[in-house]
Amino acid sequence: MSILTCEKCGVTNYLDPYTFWDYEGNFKCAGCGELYFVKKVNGQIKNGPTAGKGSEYRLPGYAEKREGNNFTPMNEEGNVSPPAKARADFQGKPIDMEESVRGNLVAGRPLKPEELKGGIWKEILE
Amino acid sequence: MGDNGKCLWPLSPAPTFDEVYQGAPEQEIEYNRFLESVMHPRESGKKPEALDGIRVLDCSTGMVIGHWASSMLSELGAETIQIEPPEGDELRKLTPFGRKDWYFKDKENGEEIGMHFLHEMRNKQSITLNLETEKGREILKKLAANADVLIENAAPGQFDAWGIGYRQLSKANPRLIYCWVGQKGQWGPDKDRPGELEPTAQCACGFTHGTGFPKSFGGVPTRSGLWMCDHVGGTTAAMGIITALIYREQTSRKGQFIEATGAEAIIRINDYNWAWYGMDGSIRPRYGNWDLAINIYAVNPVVDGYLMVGGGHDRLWYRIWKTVGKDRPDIEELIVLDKDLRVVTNRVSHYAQVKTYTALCEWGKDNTRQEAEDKLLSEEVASGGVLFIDEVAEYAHFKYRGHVNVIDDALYGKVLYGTSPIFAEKTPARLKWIGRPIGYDNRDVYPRLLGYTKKDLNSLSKEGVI
Repeated sequence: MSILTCEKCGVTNYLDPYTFWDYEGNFKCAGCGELYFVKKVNGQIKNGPTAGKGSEYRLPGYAEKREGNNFTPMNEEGNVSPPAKARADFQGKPIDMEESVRGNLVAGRPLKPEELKGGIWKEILE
Repeated sequence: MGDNGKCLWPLSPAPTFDEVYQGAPEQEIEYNRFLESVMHPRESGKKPEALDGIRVLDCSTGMVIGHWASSMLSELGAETIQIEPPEGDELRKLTPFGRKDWYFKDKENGEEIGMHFLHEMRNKQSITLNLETEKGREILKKLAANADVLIENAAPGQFDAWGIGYRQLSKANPRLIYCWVGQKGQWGPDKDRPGELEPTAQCACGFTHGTGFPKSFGGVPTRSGLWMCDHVGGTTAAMGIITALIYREQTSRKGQFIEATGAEAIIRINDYNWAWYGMDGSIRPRYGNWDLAINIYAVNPVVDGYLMVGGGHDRLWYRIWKTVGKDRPDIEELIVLDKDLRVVTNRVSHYAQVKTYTALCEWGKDNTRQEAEDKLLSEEVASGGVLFIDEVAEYAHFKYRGHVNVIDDALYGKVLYGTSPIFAEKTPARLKWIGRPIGYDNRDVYPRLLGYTKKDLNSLSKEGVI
């Protein structure tokens, strides 16, 4: 597994393919800091997760806390590996684009409640 | 590939027309029959050549940029003469890992030639000429008087100082198109900087910094494994030459001076990097196999290699996860239930990409390239395995289109090669021969163009001029 939930704090850690596709060592849970040892070969878990060995570790690429259908990112600095940045000093809030070139949100619109069945888009359930 | 004359390709035959279009509607079959009758390279040898009658002198040495430019022209039919120093272009000796067993040898003299140089000698004649001698330069002047194009990559100003630069040659031949190629240019502050070769150009233009895994994932700047600046710069040189030929024929009746460089060709390709930096000082970071503006749009590891998957907008996004969900509903759920991933632009944030690709690779680790591709294509998702060269060579589509092919060269035997990508109904590019030994065409070119006799050639050879 590349998506591992901490038994202690319940935070889900995403072991990204860049860092962990072939990896033997610890990762540090983004929620509670617990160290877990894993051995991964070609994406497959060969050993672990078990209690961490030693003090060296890598941070997961992403982490979140899941409560039902709510996912809360746990990406504070130091919990997960830092993002690639276009500007090292960039601290502002990103202003995402909202409209397509045609002036509507065809590709990116938030789904309306009537389009959902539970939390899932009806189209993909068909 | 092995010794000259042997070639392992193809391991399996290309499919036939009937196999390819089996079950297609009659109109589609009829249209493809038409397309193949006018486009397929097997018909190229019967057609005229676009640059027939154009004579090109390629005086460049030690860099692929000039050879690549003249290859573009020679594939389109230009009579292209590669002018080498008497000992030959140093690139002839380049071979992977320095191994001589990967040299080709010509059947007449057994002279060794590296594969890279061999491929860029296509359709060219080779003559030797020592431009460091006064007599050699006089001979070049005579050749240039009857040429349409001259390409050189000597140190800036060298040809001018020798009296064989654009200013001198264009007086004798006002129709001459004179093209200087290099990595950064023959004028400006760095014009005389030593060691301006292809890797320097890749690093100097921003390409290398922007290529490779992100720094935060341990990545380092990565140069292209191919000599990209040479190839792109050489292509721009060929475009410049061809447009200058058109301008000469349609408007001016005169040639002109052209310059094309590797670093600056890639600077052009770095298009939006400049606008972004100019806007607020942003420097496009390396993002490896992921894309800064589209998610999913990446090469991902799978069981037996890597797989490209693309699908940034909703139609494909949900088809990808529907595909994944057939095997792993738990992974599909992590994505489609996450409200932050429902808006396409939110999916492009860094952490959304990490979540996305980690989830996709969790599925990919249990699928081979072929399995994953088949599953994704069944939902009409753009995807494709990262093919090794042997797989490309045997890829039915390219074999069928004649895009990877083998030539049985009179001098070098069977050589597998990539066909020119310029397909055309009336004047397609083509391969006529793969290469020539050093000075192989002295006996043809000098008598034909300058009237030299065998005695003249022997004399020039003894003097070290050819």
